[in-house]
Amino acid sequence: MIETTHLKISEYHLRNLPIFYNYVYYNSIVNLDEYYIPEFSEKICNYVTHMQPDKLISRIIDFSDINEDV
Amino acid sequence: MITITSKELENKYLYMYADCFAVKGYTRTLITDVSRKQMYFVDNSYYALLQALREHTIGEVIAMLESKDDLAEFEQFAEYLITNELGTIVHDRSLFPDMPVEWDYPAVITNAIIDLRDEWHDFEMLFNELETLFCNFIQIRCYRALSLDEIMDILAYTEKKTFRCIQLMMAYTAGISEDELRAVISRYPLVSLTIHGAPFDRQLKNEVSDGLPDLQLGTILYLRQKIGSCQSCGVINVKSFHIPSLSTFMENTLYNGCLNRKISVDEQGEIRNCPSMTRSYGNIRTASLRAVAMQDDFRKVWDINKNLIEGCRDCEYRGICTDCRAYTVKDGDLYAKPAKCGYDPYTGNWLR
Repeated sequence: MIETTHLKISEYHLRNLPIFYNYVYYNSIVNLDEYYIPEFSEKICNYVTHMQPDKLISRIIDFSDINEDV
Repeated sequence: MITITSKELENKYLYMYADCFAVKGYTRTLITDVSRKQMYFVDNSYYALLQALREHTIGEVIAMLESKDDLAEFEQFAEYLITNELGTIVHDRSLFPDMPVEWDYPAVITNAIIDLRDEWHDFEMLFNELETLFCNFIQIRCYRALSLDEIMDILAYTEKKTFRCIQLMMAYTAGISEDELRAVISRYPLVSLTIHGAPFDRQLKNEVSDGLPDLQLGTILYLRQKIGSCQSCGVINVKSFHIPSLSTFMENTLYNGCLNRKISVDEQGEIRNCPSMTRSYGNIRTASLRAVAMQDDFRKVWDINKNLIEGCRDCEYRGICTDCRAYTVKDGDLYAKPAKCGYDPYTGNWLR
């Protein structure tokens, strides 16, 4: 028998993890790589996920100029 | 360690996974694993080998090899593919069909650039129009400093819109504090800010509270780089590459990675494919973005993929690079090499 612990779920995880996470017992919660912030839009009756584009919209920033520490 | 010459593998296939793409360049081949976001450079002779492996069993490929050295190299390459999880051994190749090379997206326009300096645009009208085109990503590039009121004026019109991200760029001013910028991002979580011409390069870090990062999607990036006009655009260097998703890889392969499904408004309100391109399709005061976006003439540049571009057609980066058609080595030639690309595919060297 595996012993499980009911961990506290942060607001951030509540927003992003699948809904069944609210109803199961678990020992660890996966870490998310990126921030996807869903926001319900009544206009389209669906969630809009805020996210950065997969490609550069323009090439106006010269990334080779940016200090390595940034 | 795999023994590719073993009898039991003779009738099997060495299969490269469908989400790994080999792109042959003039000097070398780039294998891009779009799922794991990894790049692998191999000699062009292995590209021919990969092509043979698509249709022939391992035994048949071995029979094609001319020397023992070739066999040793094949063995090493098979080990390389399997170790890096780029491929595996399969019994029946027909059960692993190739990924169809195709791309589409449920939006008339996927991304837009709005340039801004002295002349103020009607952002309410622009955002309304872009939303009806299902545009997801908007970059606003302001070449002067904005006041906090001006920033809030622009962003107020994004409320209840279906945009996924607004990238707002503006010149540095000491008049707006970091805390004030953080407050902007907290108020509008779809926004990321880039402050150019700053006295330092710096990215503001998230402050996490209850597991919730305060900047959420948005980042606040300060850059020393001075961005004075759209003429700063078009820079292609090794640091500007990142490995795209499968969808963007397909888009880059079939269409123009930068201009496809893009619409732009320049500083004066002229509607263009990109603010740096010479041709205007009308001014936002008299023309609608939708009417322009539906014109066949406006869409022509969307189809200029890298197979049509000098230099790019021989470049192994052509699946991941998004290109630039505004600044080419031959003024006005839409099919010439990008002028600000620092890579020479014929030598395999990046220029400093």
